[in-house]
Amino acid sequence: MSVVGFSHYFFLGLILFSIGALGALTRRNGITIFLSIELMLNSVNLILVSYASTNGNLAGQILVFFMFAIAAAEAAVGLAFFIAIYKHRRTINIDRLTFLRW
Amino acid sequence: MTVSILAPEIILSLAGIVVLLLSTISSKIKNLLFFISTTAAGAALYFLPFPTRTAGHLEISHTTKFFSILTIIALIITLLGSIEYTSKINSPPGEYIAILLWATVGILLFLKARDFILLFVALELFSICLYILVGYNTDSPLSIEGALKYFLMGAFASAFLSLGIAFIYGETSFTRFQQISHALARNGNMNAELIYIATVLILSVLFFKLAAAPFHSWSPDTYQGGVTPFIAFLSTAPKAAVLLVLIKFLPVILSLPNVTEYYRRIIELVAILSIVIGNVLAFQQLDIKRMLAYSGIAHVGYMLIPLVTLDLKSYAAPVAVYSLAYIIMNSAAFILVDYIFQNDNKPHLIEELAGIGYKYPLAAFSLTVLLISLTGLPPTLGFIGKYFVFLYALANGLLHLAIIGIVFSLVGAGYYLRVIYFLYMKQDDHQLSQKGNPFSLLVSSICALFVIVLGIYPSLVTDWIVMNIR
Amino acid sequence: MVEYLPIIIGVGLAFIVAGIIMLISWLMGPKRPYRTKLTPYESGMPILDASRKRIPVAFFLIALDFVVFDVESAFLFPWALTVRNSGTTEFISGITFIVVAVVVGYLYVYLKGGFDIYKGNSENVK
Repeated sequence: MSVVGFSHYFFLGLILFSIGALGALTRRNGITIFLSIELMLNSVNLILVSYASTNGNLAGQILVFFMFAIAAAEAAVGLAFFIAIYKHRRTINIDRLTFLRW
Repeated sequence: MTVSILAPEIILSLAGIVVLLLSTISSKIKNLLFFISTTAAGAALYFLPFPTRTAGHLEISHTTKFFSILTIIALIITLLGSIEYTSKINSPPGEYIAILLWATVGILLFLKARDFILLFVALELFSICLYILVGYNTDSPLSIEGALKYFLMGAFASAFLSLGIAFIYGETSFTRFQQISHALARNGNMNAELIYIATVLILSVLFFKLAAAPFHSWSPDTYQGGVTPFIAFLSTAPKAAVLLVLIKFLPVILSLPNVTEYYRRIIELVAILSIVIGNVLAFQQLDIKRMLAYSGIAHVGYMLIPLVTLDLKSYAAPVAVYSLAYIIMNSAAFILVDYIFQNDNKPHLIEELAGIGYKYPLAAFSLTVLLISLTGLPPTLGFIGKYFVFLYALANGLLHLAIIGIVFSLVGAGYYLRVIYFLYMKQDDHQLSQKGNPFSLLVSSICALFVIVLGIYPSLVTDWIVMNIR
Repeated sequence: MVEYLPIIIGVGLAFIVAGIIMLISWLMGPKRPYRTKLTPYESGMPILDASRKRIPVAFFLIALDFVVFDVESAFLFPWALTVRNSGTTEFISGITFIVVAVVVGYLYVYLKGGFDIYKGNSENVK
C-alpha cells in the first residue's frame, strides 16, 4: 500500500472508464454524453501508459499520442454536429431527436 | 519500397488536398473537382501494389488487393452518383469530395493493417470521415440527426475498441498480429480472462461497424437520414473492409488454446440474429432507404455464415464473392434511389415510387434488376453470392444455417418484390418529373448490366477468387 | 503512504489558514449592506448586461481550429527529440507531416476565412 504501482493506475483507469460508460448511457444532454465518451478514451490512455511502463516498450505510449489526435478530431466533428442540430431543433437533448423513428 | 506499397493511399490523399485547396479558390469548378477525384480513383486502382510477401505492419496479398479494388469501385460509383447532389445542397462540394477520398484512404489502410495501432488509427480515420459525410446536408434536420446518432454510438464503440486493444497490448506487450498470436499460443504469464474480455470487446466493435444484429440500431436511422448518394458508400465499402479485418483477426484470437467452440457460438448467434432481424423488420418499413438499411443488416448476416466454420484456410472465398455482389448492387441501388427521388429533405416513401416504371424506364429497369439481385434470384450476381455462401455452409456441415438463410431469403423476396410491384403495377403519375444526374443513371445502369453479365458468366471472377483468396 | 504526509499537512494548513482569515474578517469587519455596495463592481462601473449570455459561434470556430493545430504540435515533440539520431526517412516523413497537416491545414482555414471573425455575421459580433 505504500507504493503507488501498476494496479493503482490500472484500476483507476477502469473506474474512470466505467464512470464514463455509465454517464454516456444515462445522461440525456448531448454534450454531457460526449464528455463521458472523452472520459472513456482518456481513461484508456491512462491504462495504456501504465501498461507501457510495466511492459517496458513504447508501443502503448505511441498509441496514446494517436488517441489524443483522434479525440481532438472527434471533438471538433461532434461539437460541429451539436451546433448544427441546435440550429434546427433549439435543443441538444437526445430524447427529443425523434424525427427518424416511426 | 514503402512508397510504392502505399501508392494508392498517397494518390488519393494528395488528390483530396488538391481538391480542397482548389475548391476554396472558386466555387464554379465543381465538375473539375469531380474529374480530378475520379481520375485519382482510377490512378489508385492502377497503382494498387502487386501482392508480395507481407511487409512489417502492412499486409499486401491477393485478398487485400481484391478488397481494395472493391473499395475503390464503391468510391467511383459514389463520386459519379453525387455530382448533381452537391449542387442541390447548401454545403460546398470540395469538402464532400475531399472527405470522401480520405475516408477511402482510411479504409485502404484498414484493409492492409496487421498492427493494432495502425488498425485503430485507420478505423478512426474513416469513421470520422463517415460521420461528417452522413451529416453533410446541413439544411436537413434528418441528415444531422442521423449523423449525430451515428457519431455518438460510433465514438462510444471506439472507446470500447481502444480498451480491448489496451488489454491485448498490456497482456502480450505486442501490437502486431503475428507477435500477438505467437504470444497467445505460448500462453505465458498473462491474464487469460482479460484476453477473453478484450477479444469480445474488439469483436463487438467490429460487429457494430458491420451493423450486425445486436449492434445494428444505428444503421436504419443513419441510412434514412443521411446523404443518399453517400449512403451508397457507407453501406458497402466499410462493411466489406470490416469483414476482411474480421477474417484477419479471427486467426489471431484462435491462437488461444481451446476457444474455437466459444467464438463459433458468438459468430453463429450474430449471423442468425442479423438474418432474422434484418429480414423481418425490413418488411414493415415505409421508407425505401430504411428498408435497404434493414436488408443490409440481413446481408451482413449472410456474409457472416462462412466465418462460422472458423476454417481459416477457406472461409474467405465465399465472403469475397458475396462482398463483390453486395458492393455493386447495394451502392447502385442507393444511387438510383437518389436519382428517382431527387429531394433528400423528405422521407423516401415506397408508395411514391408508383408509376416510376413508366416515367423513368431505364432507371426503373436497373432498379428492378438490382432488387432481384438483392433478393438472390438467378440470373444475377446476388444469386451467385448466396449460392457460394450456402454451398460452403452445406459443405462444412452447417445445415441449420443454410436452411435459416434460404428460408429468410424467401421472406426477403417479399419486400423487394413489393418495391418492384409499386414500380410497374400502379398506374399513377404525379410530381417527381425533373431530370436527374445523367452520371447516376449511367453508373447504376452499368452496375445493373454487370450484375446480370456476372450472374450469367460467374466464372469470369469466381475462378480467380476461389484460386487466390484465402 | 508515509512519504505523502508532508503534502497532506501542507494542504490542510492552507485550508486552515485561509479559513481562519475569512473567519476573522467576517467577525471583525463592519457590515452595512446597501444597493450600490452589493453590485459586482464596487468601484462604480455600471453593469452592461447578463454575464451568462450566448457567445457568437465565430469564437467557437476559432477555438476548434486552435484545438486541432494544438494537437498536431503534440506529434512534433517526440519527432524533434529523435530526429537527430535517425536517418533521412524519418526526417522527410516528419517534414511531410508538418507540410501536409500544418501548412496545408492553415492555408485551407485561411482561404476559407476561418480566422476572419467578422466574416458573414458582423451584426453578431460587437
